[in-house]
Amino acid sequence: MSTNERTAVAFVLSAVLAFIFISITDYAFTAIFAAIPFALVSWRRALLLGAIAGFAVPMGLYLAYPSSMISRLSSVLSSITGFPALLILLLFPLIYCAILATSAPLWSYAASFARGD
Amino acid sequence: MMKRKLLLLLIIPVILFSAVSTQLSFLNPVNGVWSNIRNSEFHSSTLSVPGLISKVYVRIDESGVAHIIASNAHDLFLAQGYYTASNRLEQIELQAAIASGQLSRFIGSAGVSSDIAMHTIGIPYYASELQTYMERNFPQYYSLLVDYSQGVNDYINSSHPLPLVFSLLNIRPFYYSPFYIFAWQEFMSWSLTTGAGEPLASALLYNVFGYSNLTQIWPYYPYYTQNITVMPGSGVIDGKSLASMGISPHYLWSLNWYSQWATGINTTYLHTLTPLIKDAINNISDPYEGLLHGEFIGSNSWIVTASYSRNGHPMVANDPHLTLYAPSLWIPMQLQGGGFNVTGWSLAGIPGILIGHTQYTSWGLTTPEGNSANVYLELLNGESYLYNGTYHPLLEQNYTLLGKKYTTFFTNNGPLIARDGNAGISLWWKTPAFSTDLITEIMLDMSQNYTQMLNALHYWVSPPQNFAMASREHAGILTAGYYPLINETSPDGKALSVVGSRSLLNGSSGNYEPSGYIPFNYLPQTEDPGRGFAYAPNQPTAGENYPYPFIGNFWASGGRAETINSYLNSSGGMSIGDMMSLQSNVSDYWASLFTPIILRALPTDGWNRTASQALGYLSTWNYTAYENEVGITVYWYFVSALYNITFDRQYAAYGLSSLPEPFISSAIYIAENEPDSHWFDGNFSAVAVSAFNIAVSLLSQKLGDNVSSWTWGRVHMLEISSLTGLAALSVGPISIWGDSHTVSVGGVPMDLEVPEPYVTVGSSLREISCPATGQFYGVFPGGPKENVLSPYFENQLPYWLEHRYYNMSDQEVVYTYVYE
Repeated sequence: MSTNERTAVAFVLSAVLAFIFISITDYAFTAIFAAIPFALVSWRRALLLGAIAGFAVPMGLYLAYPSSMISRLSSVLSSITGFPALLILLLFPLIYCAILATSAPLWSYAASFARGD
Repeated sequence: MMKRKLLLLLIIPVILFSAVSTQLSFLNPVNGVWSNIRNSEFHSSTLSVPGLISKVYVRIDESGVAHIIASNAHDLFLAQGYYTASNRLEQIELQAAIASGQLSRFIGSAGVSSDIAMHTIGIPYYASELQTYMERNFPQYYSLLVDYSQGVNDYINSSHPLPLVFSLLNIRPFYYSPFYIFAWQEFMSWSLTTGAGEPLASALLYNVFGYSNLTQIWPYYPYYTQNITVMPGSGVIDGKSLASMGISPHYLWSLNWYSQWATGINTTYLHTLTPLIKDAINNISDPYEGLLHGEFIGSNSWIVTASYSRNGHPMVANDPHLTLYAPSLWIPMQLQGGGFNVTGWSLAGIPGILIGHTQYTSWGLTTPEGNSANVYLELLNGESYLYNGTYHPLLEQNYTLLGKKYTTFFTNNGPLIARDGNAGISLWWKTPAFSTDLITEIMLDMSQNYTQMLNALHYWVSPPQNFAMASREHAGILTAGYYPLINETSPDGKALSVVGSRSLLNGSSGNYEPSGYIPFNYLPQTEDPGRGFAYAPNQPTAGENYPYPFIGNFWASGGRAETINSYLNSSGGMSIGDMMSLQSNVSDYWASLFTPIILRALPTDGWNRTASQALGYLSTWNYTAYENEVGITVYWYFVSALYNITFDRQYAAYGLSSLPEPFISSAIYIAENEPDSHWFDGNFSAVAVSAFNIAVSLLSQKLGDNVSSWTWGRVHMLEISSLTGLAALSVGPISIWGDSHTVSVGGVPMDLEVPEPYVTVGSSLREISCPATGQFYGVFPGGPKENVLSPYFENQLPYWLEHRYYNMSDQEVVYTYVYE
């Protein structure tokens, strides 16, 4: 399997895992486990693609809802919490992205250690 | 080596981000707050509901009313609980937590004062007592409450998303039970009970202003209400009256009922109790109860007999005024099956339909305001209280809040609500312990004729309520409930039984304890009144000759009753359309009396241009309170300014600003008949001029000098607030009609603020029924769902604002759920 193929497989697997974890648990730290497939790729690719997967998957899940409802609820939550509505919307994807992006190189390093690189 | 350092550098942010992320789990796009979007719509579907015997169909019509159709009563009430929880879980759990004194378990220390007030009043205690009483004595009715609770818990156990507040607070709902049903019933009962705060406030005013000044502003019967009682006539019932007992009504109502002979308390000693009385008022004033009770609580109802109805059949109208919440305290539905076929409004969290109709009957409720509670002065010594010359140990009820132990002490009269050294005040409010009101509700829900409705009312205990009822043949009003009677001996030696008191009663002697209740047959009532109508918008229930005088009455001023009486009387006969028209009436009766007096008191010239224009609007005003009227704005701010410089100033001088201001009818009466009263500084004309100048100055400062723009809708707005207190979940502000005295009410305090404080109390539902013709109309300012994102959150509000109605028998079904 080429590097590009490994990268593609890692990205897809990570995205699927992220989708499953977000759907069955409440917690964003499950991104640590969603990052495991990035053990297959270099740490630089893992960092970049982990960030993309970590942000895109939770953002994509918003598509399950009508945008008008998302907007209305963001506004309600903004009134309750005092945070800007956009931040309310982005907060979970951003934290998920941060955890996945920082975990992915860890798995990549761990794999390279295991391989004795 | 380098890689290991990088590894360590990455582990730290992973740990940090993960730690932070645990606080953000409520924002998870699938399971967090966003999941509320999935629960915002109705969707036709089949749902698994454990415990059902057969399938239940829940059909949602286009007005948002659910039609729950089951094959037996068990399934019907279980499904009602499930449906209510699926739309109002957040509300019913919050209500239950407040009423049961467990709010602090959910919101922490901010809920402690509310919890202490609930325990001090005894609501959790009485709920527990009532649960035991019902389970033991009425198991067939109690089982329906168990079914309802199971339905709620089935929903909690289902996989449906939790409401917003649960996600935000990261808490799980607690399981519902009949105890919480009774707790909410007791809470509602307390919020509509007269006899606790009222005599305490009255005693304070008496201590400060004295008998003659006080009776001038707080007469036993509000001024101008002699001929507008719920029960038509002088008060004679079933041949019994004060006169038939040899007691002159004129003499009885001329007595000073604050005197020692009436209360057992020396009035000089009463004066020393002012701080204790203030403490007592404060201790039973729970912030949430205050919100519910509101300052302008009231309601309208009237009945029209077959002979006075244009279609030849009895009719009934009802609109209970409660604090308007989003979601509403009510949830509309039809319950069909197991002997039931009833449509109307259920109190969310309580099974059955409280206000509504069957195919044969219809009914509505208003509050009659006579004392069903009493307050007693107790003489204490350490942990004992004096009773009949002997000291007895105080009983203790312990409870724990946030790990801290609290105790409520009880005398034989009830819980001590305040104590100062060896003096204490106890609250007699015992009827809730056996308040079988839910039996009444269920019997009404099954009623098929007027006799069955009357039979149902035998079970109504607390709080007393005016039931306006119509069957296919008859119509009437009966003030049902338990009014405790106190034996009194008047100064001329006549023995009689009275309801309540104007002040504290002596709790140590045993002479002033309730000795029974008004017998059912002698409760104020009228059936098919000869004049063709009767009405019960919180005015005096019975005339001055009534054999059980309501000494503790504290009735409403009667402005709405005057309007209703005038409309019904002059109509010569009523149609359904007339009933709707009357329910939407925004004429202020008191303004029609007061404005001519005001105009006589004010000079016609010598004003500046703005004041002159304002006076012009006032003098041509037709006394209606529509949003586009200017006259009502000028009038209301004039009256507010008048109160501000007269009654309010005198109240404030004694630290009594929180007590109820005198009725507007008192101000009118004094201005007309005793204009040199000390309440008006000896000269009504002079204070009227000052008040007018203050009002015009304030309005021109805030709204500009163009008087034509001073419309009521600019300063008078409705806000329907969330029970959570979160503004984001509230509705409004919306410009709105009405004032505190209009039939279609929009009450605001007489504060000198522009705009006025928001209207928070209003018609919580409107119902008009004619069972014989199958005409049932209704509307309420809300919707079935508590989800703020839902189109069914406030779907009926636009109709309500426009005084329009839904034909409750003719709505198309748009969604169907099958519970199995």
